[in-house]
Amino acid sequence: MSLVIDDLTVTVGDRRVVDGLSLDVPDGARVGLIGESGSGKSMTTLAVLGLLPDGARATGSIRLDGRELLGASERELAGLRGRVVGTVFQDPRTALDPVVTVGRQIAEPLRLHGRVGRRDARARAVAAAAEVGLPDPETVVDLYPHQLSGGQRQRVGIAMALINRPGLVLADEPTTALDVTTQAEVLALFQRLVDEQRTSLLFVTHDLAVLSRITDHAAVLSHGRVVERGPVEQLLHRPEHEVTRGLVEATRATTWRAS
Amino acid sequence: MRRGAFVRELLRRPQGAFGVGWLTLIVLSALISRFWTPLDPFDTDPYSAWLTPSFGHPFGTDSVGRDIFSYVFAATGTTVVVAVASGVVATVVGVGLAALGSLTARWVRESVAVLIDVLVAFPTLLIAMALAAAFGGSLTVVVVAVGVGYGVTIARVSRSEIRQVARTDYVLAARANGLGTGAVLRRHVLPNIAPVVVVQLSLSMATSVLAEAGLSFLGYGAPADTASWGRLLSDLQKFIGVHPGSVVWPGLAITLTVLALNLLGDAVRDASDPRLRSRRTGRGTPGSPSTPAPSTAPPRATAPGAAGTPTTPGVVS
Amino acid sequence: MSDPTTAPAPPLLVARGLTRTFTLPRRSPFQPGPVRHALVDADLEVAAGESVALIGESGSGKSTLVRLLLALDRATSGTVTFDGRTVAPDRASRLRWLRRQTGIVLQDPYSSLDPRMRVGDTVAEPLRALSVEGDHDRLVAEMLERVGLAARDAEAWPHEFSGGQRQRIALARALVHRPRLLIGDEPMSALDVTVRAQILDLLRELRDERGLSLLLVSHDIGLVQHLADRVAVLRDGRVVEQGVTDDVLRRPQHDYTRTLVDSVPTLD
Repeated sequence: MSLVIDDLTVTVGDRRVVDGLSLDVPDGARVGLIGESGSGKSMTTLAVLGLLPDGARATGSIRLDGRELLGASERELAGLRGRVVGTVFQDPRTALDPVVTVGRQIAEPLRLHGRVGRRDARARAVAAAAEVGLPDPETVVDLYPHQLSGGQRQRVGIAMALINRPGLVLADEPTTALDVTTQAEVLALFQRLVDEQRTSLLFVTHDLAVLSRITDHAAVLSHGRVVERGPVEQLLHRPEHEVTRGLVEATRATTWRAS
Repeated sequence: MRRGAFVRELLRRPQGAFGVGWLTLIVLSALISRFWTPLDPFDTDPYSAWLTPSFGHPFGTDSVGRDIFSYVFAATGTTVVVAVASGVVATVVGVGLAALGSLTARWVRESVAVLIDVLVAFPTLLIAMALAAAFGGSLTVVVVAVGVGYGVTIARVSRSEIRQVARTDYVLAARANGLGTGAVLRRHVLPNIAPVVVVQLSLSMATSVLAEAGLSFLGYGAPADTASWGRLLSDLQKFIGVHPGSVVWPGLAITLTVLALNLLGDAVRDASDPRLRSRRTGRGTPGSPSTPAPSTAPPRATAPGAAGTPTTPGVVS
Repeated sequence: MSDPTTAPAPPLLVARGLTRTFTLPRRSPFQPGPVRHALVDADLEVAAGESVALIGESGSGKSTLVRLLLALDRATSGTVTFDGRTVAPDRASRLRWLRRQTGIVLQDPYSSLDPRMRVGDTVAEPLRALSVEGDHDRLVAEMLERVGLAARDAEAWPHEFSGGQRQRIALARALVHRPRLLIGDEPMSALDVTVRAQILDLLRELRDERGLSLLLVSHDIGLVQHLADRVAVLRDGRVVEQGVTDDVLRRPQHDYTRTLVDSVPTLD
């Protein structure tokens, strides 16, 4: 499944939070979107999903496998969300409903989009839980989110995003709120699943190191516009734009150097 | 908070302007009516009963010929006394109980929590009636009943606010910087729970006005020789089928005053929040790039722990 | 940065055998409540002029340890001394000596400043609480400028500033009374990477020019590498490894430390 964003502009009030952004996620590719807070990266994800906040207006074009999303009806978009496009959000504490069991939440996209019976749904939720490496899947699906750790909740989020085998996965800072050891595990899991299922991936982050681990190509965002794009390897070692350079230098100055 | 800015913010909002305006009118009326009323509010004249509004009687007269306008005017005093007194009682009881229930030893906290929950269960009006039955109807009864009744609600609300504030990082930092419990309470807790308390306070004052009117209406509140909107309402409503117009005056007075108190509470809360001020300064707004550091040179990459391996920024390591 | 040829600096902050257990509320009236061991037998030392990092993930007990070190909580057992004097919770007036010599910067720049106090009043708080002599306004202005803000920012409100700027304000508050030890509890984790680099530089400058001792609590190994002379690794309330930063991070002895170091995404 391919995603083509063309000249996307999102205005909130009188501010342009996304300014003429163009981005290509070819079928099966793993593309990163990197920028600091306020650069407009989360807004881009929301625009793709048609979930922009009230008062935000978007112009331009967002095409999923050729099909135009901007301006599509809520009904059409709802049909795509969770089925064809899976999303993993940042904060595992608030991304899950605290009063619904984990199993039911994993199964929710399944039941929304397909005619899957309750028993069947539970079985598939257990399978999905096992796939994401949750311990003791049969028992876990009956637990509530607060009974799981942050890393486990994020795995639940990933299971939910992938259960319908979507063609495109949007990940908005999925590991930022996690401990460093958990982050490594979750990233590895993510990579494996995306590889196995051959989904396209748009990975949004502010962390260059994470970006380099998970994506091949990336675009650097600043003030709502793309200031540089290219293979991640090139962005890291031969950055051209000053924002990119600033990011790389700052990351080197504050990141672990193994050698 | 600088005084001038607060008042300006308050009056800028329509709720604030209305609240301040109407309540100033009421307070002034209360003050003036202690010394002068157009006519004696208790002066009865059966031959002047049920006069329609005119220059001499702007609101008309009631069943026994009393000038309704003068009566309503005089009753503002009662209203103000009851509202202010019960507000004071409610705040003292409320914040006092809340502080006791949050910043003390665990056994004290838990006992107070239970006490608050028990007291909240008592209906205010019923307490007032019970007190009136025991001590005779009077304004004191109303003030005590509403003050305690609402004080406990304020306590419950404030307690959770106090606990939230006590858990914040800025309180932790304050204690780490040497502030004692009393100072933390004064400097950080009270200003931060103030908005919630103010709204609750305005609600309690509004309730007290209603309660006084209701109790006086029922005969448990203001004694017969004290002018009260509730009493007037009670007197006039008996004749509502024949003279429906006159009930409007005390009714309107009660409604507008309660409304003004509610709106003022909201406006005060908003006006005192520094975050809601109209932005006059254009400092670095959250989300925009931070101000440049003193040195604009790229960050240095030397690590003090690594045994002398200087690296130049940008070079692949 | 300590010069290895001089004699070792005298220890400033010493914690020995620190333990803190919490008894949680009972689940049933017949059984005592469950016990949580937040910290078990922890030892830590910070010498004068030294920078020490405490590495720990969430749930490791690092925040508990910080509170114990600052007498904001009472240890179940163990001792803490600062410059030889015992540190234990007490009335604020009796702890002035400790508060005078320590400063703290916390993690979340959005909740570590009282939204209802002007920036200048916040920064001046230690001066007022500890009755420090001198012109408070001038000291605040100087400190604000030193951290890269303007003296007139004292009149502004916290919400007018970005996360990085707020952290500078917090830093100003932590250092305005010239403490000997600065404790940072994840001071950079909420900041963007470019801002992080700037604050890191600022921290280093302040430390070097004032001879500050530094205790940095962080899960960020990169930051630790760039700032600390010695490191202690905390896991589930226990110190599993301690030593010179380079030794511990490049040649970890304990499995957990090794996993930690291996998990960190690097630029390659």
